[in-house]
Amino acid sequence: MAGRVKIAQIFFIALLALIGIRAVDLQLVRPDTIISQAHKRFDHTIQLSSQRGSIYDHSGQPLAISLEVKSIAANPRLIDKPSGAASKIARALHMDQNALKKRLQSDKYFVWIKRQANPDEVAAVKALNIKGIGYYNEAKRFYPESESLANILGIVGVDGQGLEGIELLFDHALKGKPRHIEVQKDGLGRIIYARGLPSDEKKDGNTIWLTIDRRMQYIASSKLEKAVRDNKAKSGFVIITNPLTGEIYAMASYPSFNPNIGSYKHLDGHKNRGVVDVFEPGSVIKPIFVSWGVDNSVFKISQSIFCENGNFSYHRTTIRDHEGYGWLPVRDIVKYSSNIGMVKLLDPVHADVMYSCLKEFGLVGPTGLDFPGEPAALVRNPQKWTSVDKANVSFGQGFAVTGIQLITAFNALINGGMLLKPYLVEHTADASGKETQSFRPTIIRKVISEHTSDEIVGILTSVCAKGGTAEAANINNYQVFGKTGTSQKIDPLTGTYSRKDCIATFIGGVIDASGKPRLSMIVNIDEPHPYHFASIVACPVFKDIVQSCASIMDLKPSITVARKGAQDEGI
Amino acid sequence: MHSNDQVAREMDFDFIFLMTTLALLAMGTIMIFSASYFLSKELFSSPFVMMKKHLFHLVIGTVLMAGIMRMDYRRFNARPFVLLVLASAIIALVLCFVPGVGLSGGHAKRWVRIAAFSFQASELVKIALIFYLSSYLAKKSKRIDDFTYGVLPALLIVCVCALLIFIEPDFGTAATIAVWALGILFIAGMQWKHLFFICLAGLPVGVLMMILEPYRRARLFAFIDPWKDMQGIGYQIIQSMVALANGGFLGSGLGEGTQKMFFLPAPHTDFILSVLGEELGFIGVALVIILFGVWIWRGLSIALNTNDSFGFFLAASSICLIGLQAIINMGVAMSVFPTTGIALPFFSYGGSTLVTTMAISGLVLSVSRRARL
Repeated sequence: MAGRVKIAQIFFIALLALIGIRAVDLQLVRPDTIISQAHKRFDHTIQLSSQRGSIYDHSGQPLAISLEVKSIAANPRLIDKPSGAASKIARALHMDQNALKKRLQSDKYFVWIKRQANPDEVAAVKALNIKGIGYYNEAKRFYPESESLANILGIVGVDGQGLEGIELLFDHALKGKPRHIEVQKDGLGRIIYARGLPSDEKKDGNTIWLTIDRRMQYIASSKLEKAVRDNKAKSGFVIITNPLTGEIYAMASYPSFNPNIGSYKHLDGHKNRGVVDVFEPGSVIKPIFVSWGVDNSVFKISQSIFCENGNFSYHRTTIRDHEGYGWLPVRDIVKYSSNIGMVKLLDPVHADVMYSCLKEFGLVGPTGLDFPGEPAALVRNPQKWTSVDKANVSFGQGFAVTGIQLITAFNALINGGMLLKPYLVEHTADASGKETQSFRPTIIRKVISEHTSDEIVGILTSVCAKGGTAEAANINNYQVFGKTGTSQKIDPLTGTYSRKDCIATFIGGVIDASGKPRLSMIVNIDEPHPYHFASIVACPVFKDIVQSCASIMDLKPSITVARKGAQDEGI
Repeated sequence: MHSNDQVAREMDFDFIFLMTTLALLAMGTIMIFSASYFLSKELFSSPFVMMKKHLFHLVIGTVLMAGIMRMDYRRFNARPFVLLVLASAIIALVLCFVPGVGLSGGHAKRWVRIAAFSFQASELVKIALIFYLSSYLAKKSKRIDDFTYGVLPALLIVCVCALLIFIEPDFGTAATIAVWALGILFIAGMQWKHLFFICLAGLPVGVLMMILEPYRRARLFAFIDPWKDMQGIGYQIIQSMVALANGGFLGSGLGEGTQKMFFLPAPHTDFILSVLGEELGFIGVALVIILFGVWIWRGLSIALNTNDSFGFFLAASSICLIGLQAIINMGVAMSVFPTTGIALPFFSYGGSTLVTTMAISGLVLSVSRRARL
């Protein structure tokens, strides 16, 4: 027995020694490793998200606001019967039962059931009275204008991060500065200890005020939608700007999407076509070349060109006009949109010079619009132009531009020659309403003289007058000016210009009693059927929109100015 | 036998053992105050409620210990007394499951309420088994090498008690009692091969009991790699290690520990050593280990130096039981063993445990009066 007691004594001392060794290990050898490892595991940074800033139109109407909604989540470890709970919840929320079941059966401490649920859904789940279900406040972005502005504003992701459009480009400013707190959580994921105070003051996001007018935007997008549908077209866009400042009043794309329903099914509908799509401008390029030629004394506005009666053989190809013309003065080449006239007018001009003209008008590079995704326009290196290429360029084929480039160039043409940077954001303000950044009209360069600009406005007014190609755009009591363009699309199958698929463009503006151009607008309809001429497809849209916007913009009828246009036409 | 010298010695408690016991009690009381401060504030809105309860338990324990140590322990070696205690312990275990009498803490049914007192039935079982085994082995120590007549009857009684405790459920205590009883039988002179076969038969049962209950299995896995599920069951192990690591060599100072502020689960009971380790550092932990080492060594030496076998078994089984509990508790706090809820004798908060521990110490002290050291 004594021997066995000795064994017991040694056994106990050995175990105590083992514990002592462990104490040396934990307390003396590697305490720092253990502490840092535990901190790494238990410390979390939680973000107290700041309120995302709202987006307003220029008059202060809300276009994008963040509302607090409930999200439904679960702690699967607290749910007694996951499969029963899953089927009940799935029924209440019309969700896939199996996917939910899988989530609720996991051994996680936190899973989302439905984020940004509507109040009815929250009430339905609450009524089920299931243990382990939690409700969290989250911000949901809400867009009161829905489809009308979706392509400009873009969308935010479920965590409130900007994904497209203005939401993306100004994400940083809108987001604000979230607060971070270092916390420790206990075994149940509850926050049990915060290390120190919040890193710094949280800052709610800045608000953004657009140059957009909500009402004009609505008019533009609804008229555009109607036009695209009526003409069985593929898509279209409208941009309305202030030609004297470069502000964008409206920028509508069709098809669009409803940003309040988080659906990504029609990604095509997310495009802001006026900014990101390129197309061949067609005849709308003609006044630009003419103004440049006149301004640089390459030719005179009164000069006449023989238009070959509609059929002109040029370097083994035939250039045609839609009607045969004889001798036409330069102004009528624009008015009747004679391709032959343009080719002959620009024949003596070198390709490089024509290219630099396009470049001068900002048609080669991005305009610098405050919107993401603006492509460089597709104009080939002039050194590689053949004579036929050059001829095509002179009436707007063989190169591509964006809608925003075209309206920017057009504004320079009609506002006295100033190329202005287009802009969408008027100013930003912080959460307290103090202006943080303001955007003013920016002159990029002067491209033509005021005199030439006035003359061009006169010519373009005649285009919209009786007998001009854009007669359908004319509006009683206002001086309307503009230019149509119907460009053939390249058939992707044959690689040649298609006979039936065209892009119809009208670019124009209005002068009211003030004597100044009050608005400019580009209307672009892609693949209209059966009629594909801009004069039939695009001009009525312009007219329709201007008439609807007249009272909003306070356009004063001006017979005298209109008469002045008519006189120009008579000369 | 009855010389003057002998009479004088009879009143002489073993000084070292008594001092060690008092030192452990003093340290334990101080640590209870520190460890329960915030918890008591949270639960009873006064930081001193738990401390006051502990002091009350301490008074009862002291009365009991002082009474027992002055008694002649040989009077306990009476068959009717031993059987009465054993029977009441088993009845108490059964009563735990009776609604009205039994009290449940959490999902476990471990307490019995009689009049205003409630106590943990398994603590009474410990005392009863000490008496029973000591009495039984003192009588049968000559036949203990016989399995059927020596080992088996004792083993059956122990198994009944362990099983009842196991279904409370309190796996830790049941296992502790089983291992302890085997140890006593081993000290009594059980054959090595019998011990070997019992272990061989008992091991699968123990492992199965451990594996079949999900929370026990989880604790086992958490013990193997606490960092893997540090949000779940590994949490308490890691928090205990962090407490000890925070303490370092000198500790953060008495009352200065932060891990007891709801990071450590059960800072006042199962993980009181972690609180001590944080506040008193390695020095404090080493002191506790040394005190228990001296207490166990000295206690077993007392057993060795008695000249009657009942006294021998009484002291040896008492020391082994308390020693085993101390080692398991410290091992759990240091993550040497998987987590199980065994209190640290003299330190952990809890009336039944403290009073039992002190009563058992009284028994050893009583034996020490007759030991020649």
